[in-house]
Amino acid sequence: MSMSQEWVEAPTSPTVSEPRDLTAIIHEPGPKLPPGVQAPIDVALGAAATIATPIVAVSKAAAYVAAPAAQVAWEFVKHPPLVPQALSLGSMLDRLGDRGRHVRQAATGDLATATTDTLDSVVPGLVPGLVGQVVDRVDVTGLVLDMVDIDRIVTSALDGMDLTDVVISRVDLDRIVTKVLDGMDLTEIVRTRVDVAGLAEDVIDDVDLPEIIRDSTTGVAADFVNQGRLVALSGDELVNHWVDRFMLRRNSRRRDVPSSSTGQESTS
Amino acid sequence: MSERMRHVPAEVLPPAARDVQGLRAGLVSRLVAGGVDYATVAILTIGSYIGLALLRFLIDPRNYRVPRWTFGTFVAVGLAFMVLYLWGCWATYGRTVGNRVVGLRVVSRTGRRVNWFVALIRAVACAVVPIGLVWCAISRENRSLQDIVLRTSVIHDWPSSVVDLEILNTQDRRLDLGHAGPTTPDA
Repeated sequence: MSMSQEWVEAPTSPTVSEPRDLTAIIHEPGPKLPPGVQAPIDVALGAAATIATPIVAVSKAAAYVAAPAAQVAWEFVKHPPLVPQALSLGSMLDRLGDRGRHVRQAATGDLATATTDTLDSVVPGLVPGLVGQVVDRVDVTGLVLDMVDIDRIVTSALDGMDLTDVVISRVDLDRIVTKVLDGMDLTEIVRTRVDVAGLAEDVIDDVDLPEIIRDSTTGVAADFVNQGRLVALSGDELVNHWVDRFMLRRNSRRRDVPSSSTGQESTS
Repeated sequence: MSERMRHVPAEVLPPAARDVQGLRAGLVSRLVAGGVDYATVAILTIGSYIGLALLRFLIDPRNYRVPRWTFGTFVAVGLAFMVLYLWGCWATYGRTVGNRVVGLRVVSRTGRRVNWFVALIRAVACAVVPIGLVWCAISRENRSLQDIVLRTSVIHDWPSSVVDLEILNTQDRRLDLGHAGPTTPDA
């Protein structure tokens, strides 16, 4: 965006404003006449220009002087007094002009249609060869590089589009990544470019390994102890059951202790 | 330390053990605890014998002779250690090493820790008449002869070991890691 603003604010850049000499870009200027023919033609043109110059000057002066009088006389002839307007020469000329204009417009329309048809039939065969000739004779690349402000065009185009969105929507990234990865030996790259030992040391330094081992060990020990306690508990129930059965007891045992759940320590 | 143990939430316990907390323990649990205690006292007694032998060697190595303890001496020393061990443990923490392992606690008639005198009498009674423990299987209240005489009880109190506390502390730390907002200290 800033680049485009700079281009807009500096239109007087020499690359933009200065005219270019196209003849330096064109390789061949075209065929020339032989000197023996060219010299007489130049002499004839010089003589004609010498004779024509005073004649044109005199004609322009006479026209300048006689023009007002001729205009008044022409108006008198077109609209003479005591002659009806419809029969005057001016009216007749106007009618003739209208008719002629209609004829010309019709003819022009036909001519335009005919011209279009002709171009449609001729241009497809003519233009490719013509363009080919032009392109062969012109250094198009040099012309574009010299005449066109490519940076400004590219900058404007890039400012107006979301390249990320374009890439995401138009590029098959999965295919590209897969192809790139297929051509790489990641293991070898990691071995040669990554300090695996240092990385491992950093990871080990960050991880509190003794704490993890301690937690897992205490967890296993707690499970073991609890399992042993549960076995003893079920043994208690089994012994109580058989003793009560042998003693022909029907009521369950009274195993609760007053206030035992409070766990208050004695101050004895 | 025992206060902390008693305030351990029940979530730490296995579901099958939650209902029996605070109830009198049966014969098997108490036998297991007693076995651990006997093993402890045996280690103490043998350790004392070895220590005494080493001490003798250090004092007079030239005239050193292995001390000769008769079986009666071992029993007497073991009984003395047993009484001192049980007395000290019950009077201070309310539980012995065996009680810790099995998750038991000796409490008084009111459910509190026994006092020094009761603990001493109970220790002597248990050391001299260990067979009285068997009565807890016959008693309708799961009480041994010593419990009946001294009106004490042995109850289940599982969150008793250092292992449990370690687990609890670990869980607390993990819970703290999960808090996103400011935490308020427990009252």
